[in-house]
Amino acid sequence: MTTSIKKLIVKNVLSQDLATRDSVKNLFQLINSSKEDTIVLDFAQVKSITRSFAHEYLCYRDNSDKIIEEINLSPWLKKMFLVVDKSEREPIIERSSMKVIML
Amino acid sequence: MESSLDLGLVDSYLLFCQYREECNKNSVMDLAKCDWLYPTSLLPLIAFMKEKKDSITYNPPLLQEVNNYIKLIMGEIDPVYKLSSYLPIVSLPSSIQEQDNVLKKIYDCHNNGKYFGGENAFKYMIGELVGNIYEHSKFNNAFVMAQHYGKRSENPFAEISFFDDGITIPGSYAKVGMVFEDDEALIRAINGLSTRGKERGFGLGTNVRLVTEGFKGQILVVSRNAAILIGKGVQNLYKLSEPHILQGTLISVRIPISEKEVQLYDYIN
Repeated sequence: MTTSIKKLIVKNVLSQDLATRDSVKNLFQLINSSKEDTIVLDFAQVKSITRSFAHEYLCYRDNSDKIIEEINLSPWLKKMFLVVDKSEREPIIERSSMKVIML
Repeated sequence: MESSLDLGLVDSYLLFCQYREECNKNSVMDLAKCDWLYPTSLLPLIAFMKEKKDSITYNPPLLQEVNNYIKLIMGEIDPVYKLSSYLPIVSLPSSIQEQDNVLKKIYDCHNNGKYFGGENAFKYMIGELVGNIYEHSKFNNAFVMAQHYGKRSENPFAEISFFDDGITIPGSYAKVGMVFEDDEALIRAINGLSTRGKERGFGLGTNVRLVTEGFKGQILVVSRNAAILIGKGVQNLYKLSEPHILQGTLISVRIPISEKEVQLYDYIN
């Protein structure tokens, strides 16, 4: 049995700067509508990524029927995926420590 | 009145409120004596004047530099984002498909954040906050503007503002049945309460940390009847009465200009 493979260059399909959740949806529309079983996502020359993009990407990837292989993930990108995976929520501000001003 | 050049974030917002209030009283937007408008004043003013442009008289600023900014809203020159190589205001298109293009224009316009804490921090901030606008606000008009004020001050800084005239932060919560007082809604938004699940909602809070701890700057969030200003030694919660209420959301940051690159991952974990 052979596996069909399709390679997508993320920079070309989306952008070198991965920012919004909507662009993840666009990416996975392309992935999920392809006839190949395995999708190789090439992250070469991707320069930046937001937390929102990384979170949305992981959600879509984990729920996709395709086999997704990532290549050329820079340490920078890997770190963001790790951040998303391990983030803990701590309050940034507390009402009790704020000065209340009526305007 | 002190020069507009000396205004902080909150005072800049109040300057917009002052112009708006005067205009609501006499149907004249009189900016003749206006000597400068920072993005915090300018962006909501643009939206207000777009909305009212058929019913108000407009006295433009006598200073040409200020006047040029205002002309954008009156449709006297082409949409800003086409001219972004030299005009710092970006009007966000309503089409989701254009998001990446417009983000690229913002990045290009500002040398990929070279003077805004470096490429990663700048793009993270812009990307998250613009993404929030598209995801939550349901805007008719939304603008982003980032600019340096190095030559105008002994302590050069950058101001970056995001404005949308959408459903506001309290309104976004209320839409999914999460009803809070407006000031409580802002606190919860910064602390990461998401309308779409507990794994989301980090965008605003991580930017507050990035701006205040990473850039050592200040961030102002105004939405409907409340505002929050956070910076070094400052955590102010403003309850806004009628002349100061904003039907939309304004997020403005001021950061000192520094050669030092901000280490993004120190602030978003």
